[in-house]
Amino acid sequence: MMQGSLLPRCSNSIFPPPPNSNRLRPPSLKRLSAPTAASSGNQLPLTFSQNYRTAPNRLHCSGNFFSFNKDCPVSESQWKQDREMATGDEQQDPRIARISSAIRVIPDFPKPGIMFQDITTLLLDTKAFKDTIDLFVERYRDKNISVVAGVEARGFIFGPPIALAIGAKFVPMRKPNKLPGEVISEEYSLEYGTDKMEMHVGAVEAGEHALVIDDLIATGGTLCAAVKLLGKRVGVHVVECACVIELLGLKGRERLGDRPLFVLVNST
Amino acid sequence: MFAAENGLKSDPRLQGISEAIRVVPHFPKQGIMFQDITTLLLDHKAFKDTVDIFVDRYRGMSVSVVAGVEARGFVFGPAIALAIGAKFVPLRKPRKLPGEVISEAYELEYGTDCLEIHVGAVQPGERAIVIDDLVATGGTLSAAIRLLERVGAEVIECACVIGVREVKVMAEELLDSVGSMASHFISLWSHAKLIIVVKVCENDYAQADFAEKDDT
Repeated sequence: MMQGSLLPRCSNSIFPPPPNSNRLRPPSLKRLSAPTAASSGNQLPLTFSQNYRTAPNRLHCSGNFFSFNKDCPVSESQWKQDREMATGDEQQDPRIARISSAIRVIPDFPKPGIMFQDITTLLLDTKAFKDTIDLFVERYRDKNISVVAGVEARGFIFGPPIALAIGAKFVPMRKPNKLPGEVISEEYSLEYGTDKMEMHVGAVEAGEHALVIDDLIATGGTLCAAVKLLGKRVGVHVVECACVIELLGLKGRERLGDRPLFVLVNST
Repeated sequence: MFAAENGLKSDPRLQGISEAIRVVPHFPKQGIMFQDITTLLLDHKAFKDTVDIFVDRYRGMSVSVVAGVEARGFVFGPAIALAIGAKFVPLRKPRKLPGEVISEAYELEYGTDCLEIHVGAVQPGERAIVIDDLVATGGTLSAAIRLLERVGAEVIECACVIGVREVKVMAEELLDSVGSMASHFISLWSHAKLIIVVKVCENDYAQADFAEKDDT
């Protein structure tokens, strides 16, 4: 499709030397009771409280962390050990509670039986939205990440602010036939049938360090496709996948295998 | 209306932004010169400059809502919203938003499409801006403005990275209505007062019709 078009300019950011290797303290596993819609400083409009939630939604907060020194990459086994250690009794980051209560659950969307995690209400809470981005930026800043890949369309909301803050490029991973230039694509399975994800040729280069962002991980099919496109097909090192929400019980984390996953909140 | 006229003519950032945008010929079909912003997103400085230009403009204007048109409006809108302390409100194609919505139909070259907003996302009296990557016919932006006004918001301005030159020409000439496309222009310009763009291209505005039809 591409005919003599400009090649994308890939500017590699120059990162300052990393600060003292700073082990992030993850939010701890904590059972939250169904949060109330109104809390002090909550900017959600009143109408949201009416259809805010009709079933209890126990949100757990969890995280894993890695200790990553740019000059001394940490091995996979070290990451796994760190993850196990992280689920001890660490203090929950105080920002997490507001973030999780800003997420609205819509029952039976898009079909009966599904409890849809709606992040649009998070985007209406300026503090919670900023905190969400800050939590990711704090984790990934100074980690030599040059690519933030965001999965269409809700990954486009969280990815670019993170990319801008950490000095990385933003690469959209899109549904078929949206990207105008030459693309590579990866098929992945849905509950019924398959879908396809595409990325522009030349957007990323082998050896770059990437982060993959989406709003939510469920079965992990979408994220796996993104990781394959970046990793196997182009030779990018996918440092981590990051989501605001993890739906427990759908084995998304398992499906990612040894690809680390970081999330802010869990939902059962 | 365009960045150059908004006192940004000598802004050194504009050239870098414009040059970072790739033109892909014959997409989605023969004859269309597609303005591809994905290359802008790969240029960290140019991408940051783009957002900064909008932030510099809207900070201090008491804007509490940044509405972004799916999907490329999602790439620029949230960063602007975060920087100016506004909410981000996605305007989406039908059946994407999970909660209660209101919809606004708009015309394409062939057929119609629809934009939706969540009920309750915006309160009456809020000051809003609408963000998209490109404006051509103005059909999408008109629908966005109508949606926001239906919920009582005041749309101060629409902001796009790229504007098609015909937009400017038609607005200035104040065409007698020559079909519904022209009336989109008249209502858009009289409503929104201004659009700011950082790159003007000479295209045939047919790109936007296809972008609006295919872009979800």
